[in-house]
Amino acid sequence: MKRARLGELFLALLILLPLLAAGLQHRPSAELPVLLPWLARLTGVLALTLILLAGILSIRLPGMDRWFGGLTRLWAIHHGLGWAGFMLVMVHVWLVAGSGLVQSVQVSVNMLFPPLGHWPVWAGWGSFLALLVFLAPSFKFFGEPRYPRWKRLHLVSALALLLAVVHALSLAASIWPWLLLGTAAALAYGWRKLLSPRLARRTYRVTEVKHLGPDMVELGLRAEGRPMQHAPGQFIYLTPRDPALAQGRGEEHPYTIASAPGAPLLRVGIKALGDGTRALQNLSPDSLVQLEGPYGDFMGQGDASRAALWIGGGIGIAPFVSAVRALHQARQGQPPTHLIYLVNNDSEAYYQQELQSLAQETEALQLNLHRRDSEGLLDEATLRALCPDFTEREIWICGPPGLTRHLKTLLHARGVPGSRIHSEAFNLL
Amino acid sequence: MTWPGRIAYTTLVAFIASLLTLLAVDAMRSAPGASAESGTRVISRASLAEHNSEQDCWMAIHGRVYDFTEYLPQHPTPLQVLLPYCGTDATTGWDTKGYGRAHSPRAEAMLPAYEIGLLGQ
Repeated sequence: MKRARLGELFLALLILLPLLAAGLQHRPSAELPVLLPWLARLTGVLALTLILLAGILSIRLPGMDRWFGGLTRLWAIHHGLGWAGFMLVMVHVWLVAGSGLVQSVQVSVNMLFPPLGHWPVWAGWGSFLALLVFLAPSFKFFGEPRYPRWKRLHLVSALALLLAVVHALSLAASIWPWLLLGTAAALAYGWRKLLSPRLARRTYRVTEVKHLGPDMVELGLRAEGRPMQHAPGQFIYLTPRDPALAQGRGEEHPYTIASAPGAPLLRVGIKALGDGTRALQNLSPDSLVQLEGPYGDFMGQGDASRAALWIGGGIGIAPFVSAVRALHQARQGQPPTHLIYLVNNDSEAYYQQELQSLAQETEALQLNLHRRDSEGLLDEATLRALCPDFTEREIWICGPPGLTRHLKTLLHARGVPGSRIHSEAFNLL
Repeated sequence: MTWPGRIAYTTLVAFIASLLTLLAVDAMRSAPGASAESGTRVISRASLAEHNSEQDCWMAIHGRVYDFTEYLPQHPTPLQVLLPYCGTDATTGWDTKGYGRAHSPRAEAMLPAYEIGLLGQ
């Protein structure tokens, strides 16, 4: 948690930097002709800072995400910065219009839509349109976007940032914060799109394709070079290179690592949830994949010495499969751990057999399977019957967002402090 | 759509509607038949020169004459710097601000509100 706060503190300082450099911390007199232009500049500076920081955070360096509490949380911050930046851009334009309206409607219109020669203003408009193009699918204006299309459209963000920096550089009082943040964003994009596919990805060979169900497969991957070191609960971005793949070849997607740290094969469980993951069910053995990571800090948070309760819903069992396999290897000296595996029915309990046999051999581990179709939603009485001291334990939850919300509400109602509940929600993006 | 998405979408619709309203109001005001006396009056250099004080300050910029009397207190630069330009052709001052930098589009957009005529001989 401390590391997580450090990353956010650093971010807060970076947000303040351009505001201070522009001397905007002193509020001028409250008269509208002075106040409105000041507010217009303030919102403009803040909007650009936020979208540049969102761009910089997309660099996705393995390890860096831990400063923000893991990559899932970092993406949430990235999304929040982008959203706030977009909202502030509109407020900025309204305030510019307002500072013109103090004079007249004509002045206001001329300020927003000057003759074409005033390119800094038009660069601002260009940036706004580019923002709209790539943010509309992120905010799901027109329904759930398809992942590959969403990812391609997100590249328009580079144009939006470039035009926004041009807009600011020609109108700003001090340009160095924009050169600094703009360069950092350009480096982040360069790394993510040009360098990291060549430098940061490790090649693995598919040595096992184990079908755990009709729409669930576990891949066993062997490193071609130096293997990746990971902790339980971390995940990787996987890019399949199989030429026979029907869909999604060369497309990277995040998957949780299901093998124990140090195991000879790195394993990932893939459930068919879309076209790409369905195609991966038939990945050719002996084909190559590329992995980037590891990312995330899900199981690294919290008090590891306290008795633990792990709740995995559906495919959200994956991080706990890794942790159980690690626990099985360690054998002793581990705090008591209770794993509750939530599924709709037995046909979806893909890891049931393996988890049961590992639990029998692992003294510290107790395992329960809870089937929603026959036993209903996990409620407090059931939880108490399965794990009587659950309010005293350090709790990790991984599953669909609805389930996570339900469990958190239940736990909070029983007085479990938020600091002892750790969750990672599965999300499309 | 998630709730932040809904807020962004609603704000965007309001944003576009407000800009269209602004443009529509502007178009109605400058439509034929609306008052458009500005630009028809020709002001000689001699009469320009008479308005050279803080209480009565006209300036010429690129062939157009502006009455800046009311605006003077709002200008960011101190009054002493501006006063010498009152009653004169201030085009150079406009283009350079005295140190080689032109006035901003924002400033330029404000000019029409103060225009009172064209500069004659």
